[in-house]
Amino acid sequence: MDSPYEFLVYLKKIKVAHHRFEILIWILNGIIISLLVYAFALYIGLPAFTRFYWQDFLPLAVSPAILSVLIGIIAASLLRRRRSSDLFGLFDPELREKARAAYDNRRARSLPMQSLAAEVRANLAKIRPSRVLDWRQVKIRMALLVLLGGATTILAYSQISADITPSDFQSIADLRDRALDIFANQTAEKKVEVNLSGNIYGKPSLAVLNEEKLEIVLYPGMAAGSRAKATEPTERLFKPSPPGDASAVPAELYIESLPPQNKEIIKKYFENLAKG
Amino acid sequence: MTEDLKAIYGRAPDIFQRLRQEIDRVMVGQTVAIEQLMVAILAGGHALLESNPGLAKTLLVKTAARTMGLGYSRIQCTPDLMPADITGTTIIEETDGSKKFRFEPGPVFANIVLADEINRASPKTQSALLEAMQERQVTVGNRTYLLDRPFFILATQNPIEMEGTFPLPEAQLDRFLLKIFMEYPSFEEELAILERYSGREEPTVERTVSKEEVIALQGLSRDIPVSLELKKDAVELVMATRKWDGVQYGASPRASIGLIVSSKARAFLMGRNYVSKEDLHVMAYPILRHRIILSFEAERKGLTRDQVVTDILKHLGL
Repeated sequence: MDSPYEFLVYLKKIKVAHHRFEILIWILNGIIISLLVYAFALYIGLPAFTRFYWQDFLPLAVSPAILSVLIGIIAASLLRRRRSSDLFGLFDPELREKARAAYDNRRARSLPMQSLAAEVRANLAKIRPSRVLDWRQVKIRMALLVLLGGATTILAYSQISADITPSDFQSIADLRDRALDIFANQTAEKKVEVNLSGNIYGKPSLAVLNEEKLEIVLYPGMAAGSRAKATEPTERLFKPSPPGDASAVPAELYIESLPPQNKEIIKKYFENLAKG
Repeated sequence: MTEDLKAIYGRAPDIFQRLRQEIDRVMVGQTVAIEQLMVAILAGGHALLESNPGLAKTLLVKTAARTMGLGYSRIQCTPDLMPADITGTTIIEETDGSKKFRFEPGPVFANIVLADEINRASPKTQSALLEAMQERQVTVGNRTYLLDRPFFILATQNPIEMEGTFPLPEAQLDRFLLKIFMEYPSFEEELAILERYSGREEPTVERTVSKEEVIALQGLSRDIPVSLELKKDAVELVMATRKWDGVQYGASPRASIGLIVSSKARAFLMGRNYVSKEDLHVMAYPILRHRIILSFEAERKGLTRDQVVTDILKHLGL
């Protein structure tokens, strides 16, 4: 333990402590960013949306949380890469220059190098590795973590995203439909131009059936179906047959009963409904 | 590693302090020039000293030679000075009735050579100094003579009265490690000069270090550790001169070497066993000022080489 080059041992100890500290900062950064992203997702109601549509498939139902963690990990890793992890930067300016010069010339055995190594060893021996680390960075992050944790909890239990109904996702549905329309327009050869613009979901619509007007509101989603508004009772479209005497009877095609000018619009309407 | 070397290394701060004290007995002020002269000697390089007449250039060199116990010679450069006047010549000598050739060494065969007003010598004579400066040897006829160590040329030039002078070519300028400026003394300093030199006796100096010790100190100076970061800074600084706005020709890689070597010498002189950023910053000026050529536009705007160095240092955060 008499060699002046023992400064390398002290330096290694500090390096290990510094490495652990960097990992701690990386974890804290990851948690903070994940919380931030999840809080934002809560604010826009994304978890409620995914729970609503994928309640039978857990990975998709909790996808906002998984996504938040992934974004947190990636962002924290990028931040870590950008942070200059300089071990010598932990020391005061004079020791920094000495330690850097001594470390870079650690293979030299000249008299000035030996004397420098002895000086650096003496200086480093006085330093406790945990003392040179900037714990303020950890404290700030911990405080931020507590604040964000609180904010996220409040958001999760507040009514901000509790009353989510499918109509709240109108904009998302609009986007999806627009994308589908674009796709359909690209693949289909010149289709008949139908005067059907915008989205049909969530808006009061009028379906004409056998000259009967039916006010309906359609919602997106598979099997979500439609909800008809109560209107006056209408005559059924099938003919009753006597019991025990089942025989085929000609039935009028639904499409044939539609007003010709509205045929295309209704056809498009059901096509969209089927694509759901 | 001998015990002597260890002893010299241990005594180095004391040696440098005594050297300064001795030089200060003769010189008044000029602390920067003295420091840079000592750096040049420690780094084993040559220096170009530029100042107006009467600022004790010769006195400084003579004093440095005396305090270090080194052989000193002076060459007063004139347009009719011949290379042989510097390097020496072979003469026919008659002894006991027989004649034989004998080499008569010129003034370059000394440890410290003062080439006064070097820009007054012809290019032919100036180039005679090239081999001596770079190779530390002199070739006369078909024989090569090694120069004594340490060998240090200190050339002076006068920034005024440029008529009839031969400006040093770039190749030769590059061989000078440092270009040192000497400034006019302050009022107090000039008063002290009057006090010291207007009496019957002039101050004298004593030898404080031997020639062998100077050589040992030069070796130790080269061993001063430099961090990789500072080496990169030095290279960045020198490379920046090559593409800096207003600089027509930048410094050569020899400047990078000179910057590190002289920074080591300065650190050693300051009693440090490592090179600091401050050494690099201070040495950048004497190392670079004679190695960069300003463009006509920059000169027309009144930009000086030292200003360019300051700008580059600021830009690089050094």
